[in-house]
Order: sequence, then C-alpha cells, then structure tokens
Amino acid sequence: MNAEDYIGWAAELVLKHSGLSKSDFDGQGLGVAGMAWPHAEIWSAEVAQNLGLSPKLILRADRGGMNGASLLGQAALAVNAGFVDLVLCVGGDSPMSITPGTSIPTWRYEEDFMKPFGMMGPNSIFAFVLRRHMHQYGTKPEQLGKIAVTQRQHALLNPNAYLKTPLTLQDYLNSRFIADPIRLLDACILVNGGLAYVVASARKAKEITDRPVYLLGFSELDNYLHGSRNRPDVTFTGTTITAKQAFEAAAISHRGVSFFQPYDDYTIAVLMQLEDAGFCRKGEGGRFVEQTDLSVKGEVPINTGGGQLSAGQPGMAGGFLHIVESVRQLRQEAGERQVKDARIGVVTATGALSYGVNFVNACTLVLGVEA
Amino acid sequence: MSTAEQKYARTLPGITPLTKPFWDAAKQHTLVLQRCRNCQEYQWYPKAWCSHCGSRSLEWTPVSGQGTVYSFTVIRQVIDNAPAFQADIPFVVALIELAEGPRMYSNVTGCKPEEVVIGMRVKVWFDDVTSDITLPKFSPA
Repeated sequence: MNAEDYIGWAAELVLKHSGLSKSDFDGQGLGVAGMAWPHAEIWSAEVAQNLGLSPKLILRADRGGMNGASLLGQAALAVNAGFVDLVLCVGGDSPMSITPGTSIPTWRYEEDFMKPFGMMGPNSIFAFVLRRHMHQYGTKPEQLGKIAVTQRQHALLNPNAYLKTPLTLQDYLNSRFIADPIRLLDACILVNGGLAYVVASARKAKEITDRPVYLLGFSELDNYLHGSRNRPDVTFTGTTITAKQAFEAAAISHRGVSFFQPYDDYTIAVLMQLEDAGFCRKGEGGRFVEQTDLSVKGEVPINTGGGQLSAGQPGMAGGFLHIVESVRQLRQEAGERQVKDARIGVVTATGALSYGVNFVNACTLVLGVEA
Repeated sequence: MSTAEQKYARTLPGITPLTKPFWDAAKQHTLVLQRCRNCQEYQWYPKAWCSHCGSRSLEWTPVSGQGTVYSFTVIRQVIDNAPAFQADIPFVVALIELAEGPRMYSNVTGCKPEEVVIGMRVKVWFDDVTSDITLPKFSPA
C-alpha cells in the first residue's frame, strides 16, 4: 500500500467515526498534507479527485512534521471566518515504499552543502543539537532513554502502534550510534500510514457528537533563531515562543495540562520541548525527565499512544499522530492508555531540521473538552 | 580521467549561477562568503538577498578560513547518501563557527574522531576531489 491508499483508508475511517458522509464535504473544506512519496505539483487537487470531493476551499500544508498542525490552524481560521462549516484534513505517506533516489528532497541546500560532506539526513543533523545540549547542560543518555522507554510502554497499550517489543533502559543504552551521539533508539521508526480528522464550527460539531474537542490555542512560527541570526543557540526550538502564545490564548497553566504530545522524531526533541514549552527551565529537561512520572498515570503524560518513537512516523503525516491521539484522549476513547480525567491537552508540531540550527518551524496547539 | 577521479563516488554538489562563485573560489583554494555591502554582515549558505537587511547588494568576499568547532557528529552509518562514504566511517562532520560569523558544515580531518572537541580551533584546507570540484574542509589549527 502506498500513500494514496492510506489517505483513502484514513478518510473512510474518519467518516465512520464521525457518522458523516462523503457528500457532507462537498462545498466545504479539504486539507491536504505534503509527502516524501513522489507526487505532482498540484497534489491537493489530485487528492480531491481521488476522493471524489468538490471542496469550496483547499488548504495545503508543505511543512514537514508540522503538516497536521498547520492544517488544523488553517481550518480553524476558515471555519471561524464562516467561510466553511466543515473541513476534512487528511495526511498519508509511504516512506518505506519509495524507490531509492526518487524521494522528494527536503531542502535544495542539503544536496549541495550537506550531502557532499557526508551528512546522513535527520539523524546527523540532530546529532549536532544533541551534542550541544549535552555540552551546555550536561544532559545524559539515561535521561533520553527514559523517554524512549516510557513511550514504548505507551505503544504497548495502543492497538495502532507499530512497535510492540518491550524496551528497557539497558536496551536503549546498548543501541548502536548512527551519527554519534544519536543512537538508533533515539530515532522514531518510519512507517507507511495515514491519518485524518474533521474540523467543524462549534455549532456544527454539536450536531455530529456530544464530545467535541475544542481548539483553544494555536500558535506557529517559522525560522526561529534564538539569540542571533548567524550564531543562534541551537538548543532552543520555536516552541519557546509558540507554547507561550498558545497557552496565553487558551488561558491555561501548566498545572492544568492533562497530557503533552510533543513532536518526537528524536528523544532530544521531546526533552528540549519539555523545556521550551515551559514544563521546566531551559537546561533542566534532563533532571525533569528523571524526576517526573511521564507515563499515562503520571504527572505529565507524554506521547500517550507511543508517539513517533514507538507508534511510528508515517513520513510527512507524522504530526497528525499527536492530534489524533489527543482527540482520542479527550473523548475518553483511549482504552488502556486513557489518561484519567483528561480535559486539556497540548500538542507540538515541528517540521524538518534546517541548516545549522534545529527545527525550521514550530506550532503549539491547545485542545480541550470545553470551549 | 585520472585514477583518483574514476574512484570518486561520493555525492558531489550541484552548481547554480548563485553558488558558482563559491565553487570557483574553492577551486582556487580560497574560502569566500557572501558579504552585504549595505550592512556588512556575512551569511552562509548562499542566498539571493541579504538575510540580515534584505539588500541584494551582496559580494563574494574571501574570509580567513579560521573557525572553531561549534558542534560535531561522528558518522557511524551511511543512510540516504552515497555508499562510497562507507569507506570513510567513522568520520567527523562538524558545524564550524567561522571567525567572520556564520556557521558552515564540513569535515574535520587530520585527527582522530575522538580527538575532536567543541571549541577546538580549525583552519580550512581544500580537497580537490575531482578536476571540477574542490571541497573546503577543516583540520586542527
């Protein structure tokens, strides 16, 4: 199965889940995400044709890991403007089925100024960030390992998760270095997959379900450079800004947060964003991880479905995972991994690692059970 | 074609009109960066306007070649790149903080990977990998 199959499958599942029919979406909104899977320029129009939909508005995201979150923000703007009542957002990718050499490059500059020196994609780019984090703050492998182990425990409770083998801290520490200091088990697992969600006006949502999930806060930022343009501190992501803004928009405090679903292509991404989203001070992420129960029964449950580290990263649709998992948690549909009394969730999305820095973009979403 | 060129199977950069001056200078064993005539700042990687002030009055300017290692990785596995890199493993890719400001990815050679540390001073040297392309690399200063 390839990306197109997964998109159709995810669209069918979301219609079943919502009780809506395909015809409900004609003359409404359609949100389409990009993919690593080779595709044509007018991919969004191709998806409309493939799904047999005639939308009034197409939303498009080419933001890498931020695709899912970007579409949600755009859909909210369109719905709040009264331009549409409903938006169907779909994401799918099949990175495991791409013929070598044919995938869409992430950056033009990667081909010319990174690969000739032996840079090996995201593993190697994040290695620079991890090494600086260890150098500046003393972050330890055991702390990163706890993130990997916790998320694997969550995956074991998630029927849709890809990885089902229990993971110990020793397994993590034994895993080999790919681009030192990044280990194999620091990295998410690439899978083929698809996800979808429906956005509606508050009024329309109440016709569909008695448990709508509200978008309470949304903030995004591209190209955040902490401190200086030429010499940024690469241990700070744009979540530093977006989390603060989204929390303010939603009028929530960290104590009121039921769970945190940070974008997790790497364990260090989770640790940095715990800091940048304000759960602890910058540089203290390691100690915070050591001292905090991050499980679904703990004080700060993280990536409650296993996240991309263990449930899988379906390429450029990976960021949908954290949104869909949050909706399940807030609707009390998370089964064995249900966070008790889940009322407010925070999602981050970040996409693609830029030249010499870290994530090129960042988005924070606050979701809740009440408007 | 020389024996060395026949054997060079690692990824080579593409050259565009924007980036050609960089690669021409490298072939002459000179390291250059875009410098803005308007605000005097340097930038890297090459861009079509000054990312500091927005001026298009950019000039390729020779720089000292001196820098320090801001961060680095030791590559231990080939992924999504030419298989020929396998022969170099383990090798270092560093993010070099150039004296003039910007940071540049390149290799640090001339020492063992375990000898590379953050903050170490390095200087550029030029690797004529093919008859067309020279790659600027760095070694301990």
